[in-house]
Amino acid sequence: MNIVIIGASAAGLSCLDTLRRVSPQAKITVVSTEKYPPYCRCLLTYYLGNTMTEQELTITKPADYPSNVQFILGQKAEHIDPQRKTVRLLDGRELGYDKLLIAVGADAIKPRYCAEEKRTFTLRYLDDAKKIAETTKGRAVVSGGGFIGIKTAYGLLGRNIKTDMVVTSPYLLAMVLDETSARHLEKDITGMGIGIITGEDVTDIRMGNDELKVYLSSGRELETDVVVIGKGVKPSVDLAQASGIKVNNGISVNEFLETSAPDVFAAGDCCATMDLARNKLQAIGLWPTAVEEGYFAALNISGTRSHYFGSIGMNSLKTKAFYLISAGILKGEPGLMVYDKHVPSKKQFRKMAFRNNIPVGMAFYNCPEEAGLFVNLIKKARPLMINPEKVVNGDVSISDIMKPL
Amino acid sequence: MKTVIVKPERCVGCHQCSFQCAVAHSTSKTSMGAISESILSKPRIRIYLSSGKENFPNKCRHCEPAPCEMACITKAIYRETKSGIVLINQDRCINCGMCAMACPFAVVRYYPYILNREAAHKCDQCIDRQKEGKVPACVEACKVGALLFDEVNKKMDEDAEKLASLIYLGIRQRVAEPDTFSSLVAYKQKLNEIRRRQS
Amino acid sequence: MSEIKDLTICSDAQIMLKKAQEDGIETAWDRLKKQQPQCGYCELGVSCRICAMGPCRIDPFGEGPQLGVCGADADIIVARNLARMVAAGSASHSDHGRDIVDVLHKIGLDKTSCYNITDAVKLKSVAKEYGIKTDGISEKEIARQLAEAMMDDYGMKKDMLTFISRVPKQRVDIWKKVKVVPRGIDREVTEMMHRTHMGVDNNYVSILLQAVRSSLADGYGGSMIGTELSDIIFGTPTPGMSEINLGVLKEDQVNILVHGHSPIVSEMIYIAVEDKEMLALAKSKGATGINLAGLCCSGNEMMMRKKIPMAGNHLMTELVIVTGAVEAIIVDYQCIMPSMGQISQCYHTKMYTTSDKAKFNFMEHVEFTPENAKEQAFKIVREAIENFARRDKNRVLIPDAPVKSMTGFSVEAIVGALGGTLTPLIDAIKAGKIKGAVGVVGCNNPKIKHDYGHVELIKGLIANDILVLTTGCVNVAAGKAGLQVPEAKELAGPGLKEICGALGIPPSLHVGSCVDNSRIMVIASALANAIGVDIDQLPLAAAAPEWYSEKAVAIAFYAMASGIYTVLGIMPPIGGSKKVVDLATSGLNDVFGACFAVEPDPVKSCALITAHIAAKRKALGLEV
Repeated sequence: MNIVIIGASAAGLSCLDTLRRVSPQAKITVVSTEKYPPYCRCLLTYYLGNTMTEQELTITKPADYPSNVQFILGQKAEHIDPQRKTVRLLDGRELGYDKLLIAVGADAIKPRYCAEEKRTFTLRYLDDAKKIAETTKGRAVVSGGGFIGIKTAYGLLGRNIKTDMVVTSPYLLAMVLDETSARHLEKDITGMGIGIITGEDVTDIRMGNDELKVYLSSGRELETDVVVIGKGVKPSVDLAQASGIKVNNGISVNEFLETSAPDVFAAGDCCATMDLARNKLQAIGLWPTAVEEGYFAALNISGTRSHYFGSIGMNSLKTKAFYLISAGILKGEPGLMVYDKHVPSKKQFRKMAFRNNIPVGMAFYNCPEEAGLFVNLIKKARPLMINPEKVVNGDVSISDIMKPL
Repeated sequence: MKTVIVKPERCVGCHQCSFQCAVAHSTSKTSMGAISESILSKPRIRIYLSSGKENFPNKCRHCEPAPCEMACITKAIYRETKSGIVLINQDRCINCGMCAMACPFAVVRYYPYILNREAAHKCDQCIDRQKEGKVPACVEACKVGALLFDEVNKKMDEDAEKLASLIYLGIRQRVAEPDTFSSLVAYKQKLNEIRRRQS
Repeated sequence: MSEIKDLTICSDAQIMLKKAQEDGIETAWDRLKKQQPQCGYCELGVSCRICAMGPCRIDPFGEGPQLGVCGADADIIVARNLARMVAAGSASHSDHGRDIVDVLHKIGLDKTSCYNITDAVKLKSVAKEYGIKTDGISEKEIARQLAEAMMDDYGMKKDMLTFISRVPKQRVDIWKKVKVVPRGIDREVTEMMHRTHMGVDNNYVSILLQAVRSSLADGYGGSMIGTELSDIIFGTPTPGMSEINLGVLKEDQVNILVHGHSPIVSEMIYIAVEDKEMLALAKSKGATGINLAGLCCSGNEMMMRKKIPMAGNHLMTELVIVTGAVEAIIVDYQCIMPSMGQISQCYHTKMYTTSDKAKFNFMEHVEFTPENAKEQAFKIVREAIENFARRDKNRVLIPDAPVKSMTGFSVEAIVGALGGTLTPLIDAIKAGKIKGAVGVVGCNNPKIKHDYGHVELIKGLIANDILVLTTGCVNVAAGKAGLQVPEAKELAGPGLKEICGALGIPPSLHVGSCVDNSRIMVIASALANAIGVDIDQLPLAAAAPEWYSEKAVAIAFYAMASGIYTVLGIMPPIGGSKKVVDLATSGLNDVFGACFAVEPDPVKSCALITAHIAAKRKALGLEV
């Protein structure tokens, strides 16, 4: 069988690894726009923070594969012809396929003032990280108060860059936390030397003599060397759309990760699968989810009908000062029952959100021991037979779930 | 492939599995030596008490596919090809915390493994002991048969045969002669009932 | 199963272990293996079962609880556990002494025809120590008064046990300073049990000091009384030859073994075995005679006084039944493994218990009292002779030939051998011909290769011109290895060899049973008093290379408290408390001038002891 995989990041490589196990004889070609050997995007903040080298980011080297696996690096896939079953690359080459996986990922959202001349970057590719590192002279501004924004600021800290975060919402991680919880986190972050400016938006960025001037919505001005935009990502759907494949908030796929085109699959940040917490189709832009989808895509590509039920958003933020685990949704939906318990003496809190007795969201701060249980209970999407008060009090352990009263 | 099989109903909560696990993963491999090491070894198996007052030994199941392996962004977590044991290469671990979040059984913890460096820790099915022909330390420590080292299919066949022979003898319900431990469990549950009624 | 030759150095044991395997007999070694790994919390001493709020344990790896329910930390829990071991050990020795006091009392009241006074001289001298006027009153009257005076030592009437007067004044002053002078034998044990109750003594130093006091109430109380009264009633040992190992059993005779501790029982069996009528009965059943042999301390007592051979020590007690050649084993108390009853069921061997305090399954109870002891002894010997017919010759295997061993070195005998005073010994020590003396004492423990710990240590010590005194199970180990005959001087260093040759004594002297460790205390005090120093300045040491018993913990404590550096071959359960370990291995030095060390390797412990003795010699200004 002749398989083509477009994209050599989480989903693409996971699909490749699984295919090599279940269909070792298959001829596989992996196409990637980046010229670097496949690396882990999530580690870019570590590269930025000087705790990892470029070599350490590398996941795999094309030379390590047998002859039936080919990598084409630094090439863009321009068009897919689902009838002729070919993929056309930018340099004109055409690759034929029996099965195709689109794993092109997502694009960082770029406001209009985001441009290299203005020393303003998103952080999505290794080249971005390199440019940010080269450009800063000791200061940086990070726009965005989500997980990526915080991780970027924390990464820059490792390079001794004085960083200020500009956050539109009144507090950090507003998508996930409530104000009380967020303030704990903010305290720990400012304690590390990172500045946080909440309730502000970046309206414009202009070059000064050799510094950047960042203009905020209140009129306040900041001076810095480089700006990193962490305002989220959008699934990359251009290739699919141009090729007539159905798109809706991401490439549309069924429970077997098949797109609207026959023998064409999609996995990773580019496609929309079931978000079990939100209970709707959504592109979940997370590394472990992409790995999972790539695995299931591989099973289905090789002929096994493997049902992929979906996943949930989840994020872990671990630093020397604190450890936050959150998953699912904790706000933004009417009728959501949220329970929480704060233990200031231990700098801990636990939050859990329910929709009709079904757990749909959680956030545990500095009490990670049992967190994984609840993340996976949300994935199960079934009513929880345990008193939520007990959960947020930290009185529930695995034995209560495995051996209920 | 042999694996550790847990029978929670037999667990008496003595915590020897935890203790011997910590000792087996220390440098000196003796209890006196282990507690004096500068980087204190930690157990990878833990006993939990359910609200029904029953004991539950909890350890890594070496799942296939392993959610921790999928979540790991540096590929520090990998599956050893011959044994199928899921292992953590602590040198590659960046302590990002994703694996603990992904694990449905909450068996991952973060501890120092060398001076000034933390990494993820979880059960490694005592792969080093197995290479020497020994059984995992927790299994060796358990004196009540709550932890066994055997092939799952073989064990299930044995249990099924036992059940079948009971049914054949016309015994609908297993009438277990109360051993001393089940009397203790029954007593604890009675105490628990009284406590619940009073609250 | 690990190689049999890795379990023991003794060929008789190796042969028996093989037979035990073939006969399907499980031994202590097998059961130890099944227990592995043993509970880590208990090994470290951090598990506590003293009250019903528990059972509690401290997690030494820091994740679990660090305090018991009552709030006790690891230091308190370890100290309490260790202290209760000392209490149990002291209680055992003291109860042994008590029963002999009872016999002496009955002798004094003329209520027993079974026992009488053998060493009247010692009776008078001990009575004098108790302030009893001995002129013009009968032996029996002295005996009664002495027994009643000793009963006072057991109670709460006194501020200080009588035998403390034997100890150098400087030593007693140290004890007074830290309040460990023993006041009453039972009192200290009772107070120890009280203090270790939940919510009483919760300071680890305080608890352990009372443990010291309890141990001194044993060493200079129960044990010493046991030794002295046994000498008075049954005779003070004098040097002579005997034999050791399984080869002492005879294929053509009725083999009767005594096991346990008290000569009250074994001496009566001896009388029955020597009786002409019993001998005739045995011959009528086809035996050429009746062969009495001993195990453990009963054996030690009989060997010291009556030169009765010894069949084995602690780990040999199961194996002796496996020979298939034993008609009867009579036990009283302490160190008798309950497995022996089970094992005897597989052979024709009949086992008898004699003490109300010690009942066992599969053993027939024939209770001995001071009034009926002789009669009961005859009853048992008669049954043993009848049992000879049930011996299955095809299942008999008596390995090896017996090894000769010299015995009987009571303090009186040693002084006698030296010519009447300790001066020759002191001169030899001063001259460096004998560098020092070490008591190698204690039991066996399957955790250490059987007898290896004892024999290697003794060989090393005597090669370094250090005189060795042995008690308990060590006597059997040393004897079997040929170290307790005058010829063994060839294995000693030049100085010790010369002295042994001159006096006709072995370099390793059998001093007695475990209560006879009090003899070593007497010698130590006598030497110290003679030279005018405290015991901790003497070039002495003690070692228990293979101990198992709580009694050994009590002995180790009283040896240390007396100022004698004590090396243990097995780690006691104290590892969970750094503070207790530090106190035991160095802190005690500051108070008592002696402390403990743990070293399982006899080669290394020999080095520790020789270095210690060299240091003591140097401090005294003697040539090292």
